[in-house]
Amino acid sequence: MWLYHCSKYRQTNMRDTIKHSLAVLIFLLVSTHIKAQDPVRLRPVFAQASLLYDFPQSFGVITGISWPFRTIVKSRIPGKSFIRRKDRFLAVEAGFYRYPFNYTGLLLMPGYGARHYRSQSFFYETIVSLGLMRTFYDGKVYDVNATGNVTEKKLYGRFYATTHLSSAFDFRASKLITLEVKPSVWFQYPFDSFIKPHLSLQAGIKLETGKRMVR
Amino acid sequence: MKVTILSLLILLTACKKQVPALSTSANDIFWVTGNGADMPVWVQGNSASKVIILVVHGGPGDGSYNYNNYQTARLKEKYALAFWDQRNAGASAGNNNFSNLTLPQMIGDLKSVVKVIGYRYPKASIFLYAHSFGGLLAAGYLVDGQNQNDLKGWIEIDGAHNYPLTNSDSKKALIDTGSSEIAKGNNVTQWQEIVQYCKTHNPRKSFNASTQIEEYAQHAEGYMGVADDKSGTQIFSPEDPFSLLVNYFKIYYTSAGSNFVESLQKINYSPQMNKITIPSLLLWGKYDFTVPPSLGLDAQKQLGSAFKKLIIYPHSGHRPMQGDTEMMQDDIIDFVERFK
Repeated sequence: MWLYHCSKYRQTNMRDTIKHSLAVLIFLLVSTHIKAQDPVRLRPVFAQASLLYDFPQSFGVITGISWPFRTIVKSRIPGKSFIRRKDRFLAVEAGFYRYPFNYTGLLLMPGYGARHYRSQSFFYETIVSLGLMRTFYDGKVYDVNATGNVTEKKLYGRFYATTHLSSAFDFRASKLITLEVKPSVWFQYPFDSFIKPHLSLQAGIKLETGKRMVR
Repeated sequence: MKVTILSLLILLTACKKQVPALSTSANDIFWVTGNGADMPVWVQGNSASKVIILVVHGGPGDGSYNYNNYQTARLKEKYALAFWDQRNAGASAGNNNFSNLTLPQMIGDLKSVVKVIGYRYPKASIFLYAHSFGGLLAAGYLVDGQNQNDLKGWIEIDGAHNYPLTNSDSKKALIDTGSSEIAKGNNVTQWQEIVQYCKTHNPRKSFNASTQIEEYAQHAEGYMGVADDKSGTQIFSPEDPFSLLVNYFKIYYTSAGSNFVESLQKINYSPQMNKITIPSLLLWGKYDFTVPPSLGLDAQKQLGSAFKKLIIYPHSGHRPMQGDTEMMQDDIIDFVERFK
């Protein structure tokens, strides 16, 4: 009876020990993952200003701001300090460019992106934006009616939808300032019942204007 | 009070018609809009001459800046040239407008452009410089109503004012010249292929055959020693190369574009060309197999103009402004000086 009791006690004790050990082991294994899901996370909010070159001879200015809404930290190799951090963010950019002796384009580009941190001083971004473009033609615009009368149209231009695919390469110069180079391919449509491609390059600075709590 | 006076001044100046300053080195741009298309017109050269030569480019879909180089350099010293990009061509822009791309609409566009040039340059003498497809467009414009009264003269350069005749004469010219060259032993393999194709296909019955023969016609110029274009594509110019590319692609590589080009195949203005009475200068390249010199002879025969002169250039194909640049500019200057 005592033996039975002792054995019963030992079984319970053993079960508890295993339970605790497993809990510790699981905690150790997934501790970094738990940390990644920590709801209180402060991530940088950036404001940016850059010069825009749109091939072949358009130049302009773009400004914008990006808000992180989620961060993901991955460190799947226990005992190693290798960490990959990625922020997901929403961004809004606005600006203009001028194609001399052709037109000026105003752009508004809300977008969604991922910011991949590679080191303390470098990160890169991939961004998709769906935007709106308004053109204003250089020089005067005229309309001629059926009787041949000519009238001038003020501030005439057209609206287009745009889709932008960009990669930004960011070099942190200080805690506040980041230098950025951002090549893009983007599409303007409907342009003459088709899609007009653009190749552009932005170069400018990002300022860390604050931090935002993200998931 | 001050604000009221200032506002009135702004309103008054805003209503005033603004005329560009005339200059020996003008560089002006304006746009003409209508039925879904916004078309740029670049005016360059000597606008102080009060002569404006409106370039009606070929293609369709080629763009006008292709002519703004050495080919027209001397003309720009003496006169202003207006480089107009037709709808759905060059740097023209618009949204969903391809359904409006028809020859009657393009003739209406040309009418509008001439009216606007007259409005911006009130005392200017306007001439047309119409090349290839531009020749068809210009002919359609000139035979319509009183349009020709807005011009001092027109210059047709290898113009396709009669597409059925263009197709049949292109085929004939390739067979005749090809047979002759084969007999002489020149480029025998290439010419045999061309002659064989032309003898077995009818471009007036098949759009594909017409397109293929046009391609052979371009190759044939090279076999006859006509030099290639020296100018190349101007990427860094006001005529956005991406717009040019998109418009060209749309016309030549989509079914909608093919339908438009095919719709031109039956257009023939020869029977109406007797309505054209303004001075006419007809310039052709001897080795143009695309729009052969016989089209120039046809124009000369049909035109109702008192002055109608045909000049055939000895070193040129479809673009005599490239092959015989200086001679052609001399002839245009003589013509303009006489009738401006």
